[in-house]
Amino acid sequence: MICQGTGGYTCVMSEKRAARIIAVGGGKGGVGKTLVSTNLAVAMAVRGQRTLLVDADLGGANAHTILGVPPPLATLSDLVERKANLDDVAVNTPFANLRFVSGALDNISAANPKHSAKMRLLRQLGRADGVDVVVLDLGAGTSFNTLDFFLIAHTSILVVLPEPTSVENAYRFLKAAFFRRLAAVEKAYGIADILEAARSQRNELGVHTPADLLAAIEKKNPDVGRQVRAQMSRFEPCLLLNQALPAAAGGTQGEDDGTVARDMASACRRFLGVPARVLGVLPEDEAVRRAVRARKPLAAIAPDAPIKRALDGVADRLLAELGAAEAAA
Amino acid sequence: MTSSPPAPARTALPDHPRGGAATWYDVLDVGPSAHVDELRTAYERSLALVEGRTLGGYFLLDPLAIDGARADIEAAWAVLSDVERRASYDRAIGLPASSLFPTPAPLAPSTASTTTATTAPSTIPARLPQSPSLKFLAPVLDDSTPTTPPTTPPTTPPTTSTLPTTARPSTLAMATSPPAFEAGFFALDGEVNGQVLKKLREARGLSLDELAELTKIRRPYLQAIEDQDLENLPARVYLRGFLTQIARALRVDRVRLAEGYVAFVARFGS
Repeated sequence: MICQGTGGYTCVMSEKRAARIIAVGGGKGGVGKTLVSTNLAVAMAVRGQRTLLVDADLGGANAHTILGVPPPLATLSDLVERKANLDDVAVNTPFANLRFVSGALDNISAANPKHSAKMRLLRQLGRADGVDVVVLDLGAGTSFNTLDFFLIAHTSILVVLPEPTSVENAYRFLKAAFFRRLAAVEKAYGIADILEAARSQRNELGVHTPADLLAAIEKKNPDVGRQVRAQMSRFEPCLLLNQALPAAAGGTQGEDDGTVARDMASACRRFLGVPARVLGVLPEDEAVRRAVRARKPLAAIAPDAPIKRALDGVADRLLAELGAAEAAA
Repeated sequence: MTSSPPAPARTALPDHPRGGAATWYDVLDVGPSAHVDELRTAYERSLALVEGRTLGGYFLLDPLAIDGARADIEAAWAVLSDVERRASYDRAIGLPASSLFPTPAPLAPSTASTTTATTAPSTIPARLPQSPSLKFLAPVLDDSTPTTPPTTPPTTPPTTSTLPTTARPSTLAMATSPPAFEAGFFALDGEVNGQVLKKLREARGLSLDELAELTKIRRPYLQAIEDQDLENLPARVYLRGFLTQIARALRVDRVRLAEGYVAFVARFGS
């Protein structure tokens, strides 16, 4: 069985039905990646999906705290280094259907695994017995680790705040992910020279955006350009706006903060050439602080909080999409 | 109309956008039936976005890339705000104009791929309210209809199907006079609910998918709006915009449709 990630990576799976991988990233720290991934994983589990939450924030793991479980003894690094198998490192949680793999790391070198080790890890997760959905909680920044995990997922979620710093980092992250994705296929398409020219300081091709680069490739070789474009059109990141305020409560420039997410997705499509879309808008909600301080998921502390309901909506939409994708496959 | 964007010079324009957008409509993020008012708003919003003046566009592009994006936006405005250029562009990209507007005069095949103002045929069909299949619906041709008061007389009588080339309307004229097809809006009396919208759509001979294509609104939202499915309606902040888009595509009064439906939902939901 062949599975295709959003980033267009293809991995050959065993005969078993592959789990769907959802990655939650965001260029900036503190935007709510762990909050989203943890609570999304709980929501998936509540919906009967056998879910594996993986704290892939190698080096800055703390999903265990949000989830309210002790940090497991065996971690992702043991899995990467083949010291343990998945069933050793995936611990049960207080929630039915939800297991958890910690990324808590003592070992500095393991925080930077080789590409091949990461791909093996993801294959392992994707074909694990009794797992329907894998939720990856990614770290901040644009390290290759983070980008690779983001790209291999079936659904890549970018958490953004309605703040200039977060918007700026989100665009940086998307561009970095796009170029990382392209770099993975440069040999296959013989476009290394164009990428090199685009990366150089002089930038004689005038490449400033992913769209520019695709146009440059197409100009040089229309056939290859079309193929690369088709490959890259699968990179369809989902924007999830967090801490959104309604217009009346001081949203952005007199408009609902949801506008920011819509503007960003639209701008990505129109001016970057990246087909981003809006997955949802999560309202600013004091319940988050209560839940984090209590070290429990929202479902346990504030089951009726607006943000919890919004996350439930996101989970429902994702399941509908994953179901549809599966039916089509 | 001093605040209007500058009327574009009639110089050669690129055939297609250079950035990520496929068409000039996509550059401005508007539907193919977008009205000139909507185009102007979209033009201004788009510039603010790429120049980083709105939050959603903050550091979207580096300074050198901003010039390219700005050029796309200016070209999109120049093409779409000009009746002739827009009509010939629509044909060049194979827009299903026939579902909303009278079938344009056939173009020579050689002009289909490289359309500029100079290749436009000598007569351009005006955008008229009625396609032949809609004759059974009585259009409101009364200019005194309170919701569409024309500020100046229409530049062309609504029954004329072609514009003489000498009477080429300028961008400014487009902006200040009500577009000819507005005269054909149907009256929307009484409650505006999902069934009314559905009937209107069917009367226009449009499927939900076609309406989705025209409005660029995703089908599940259109379905939810027609079904009055409160759970799945778009967020209120988008609903009004969506309704406006739908009204434009169905060529009914925008304000009545949007306000009517929003009021209906408010009653229905409480």
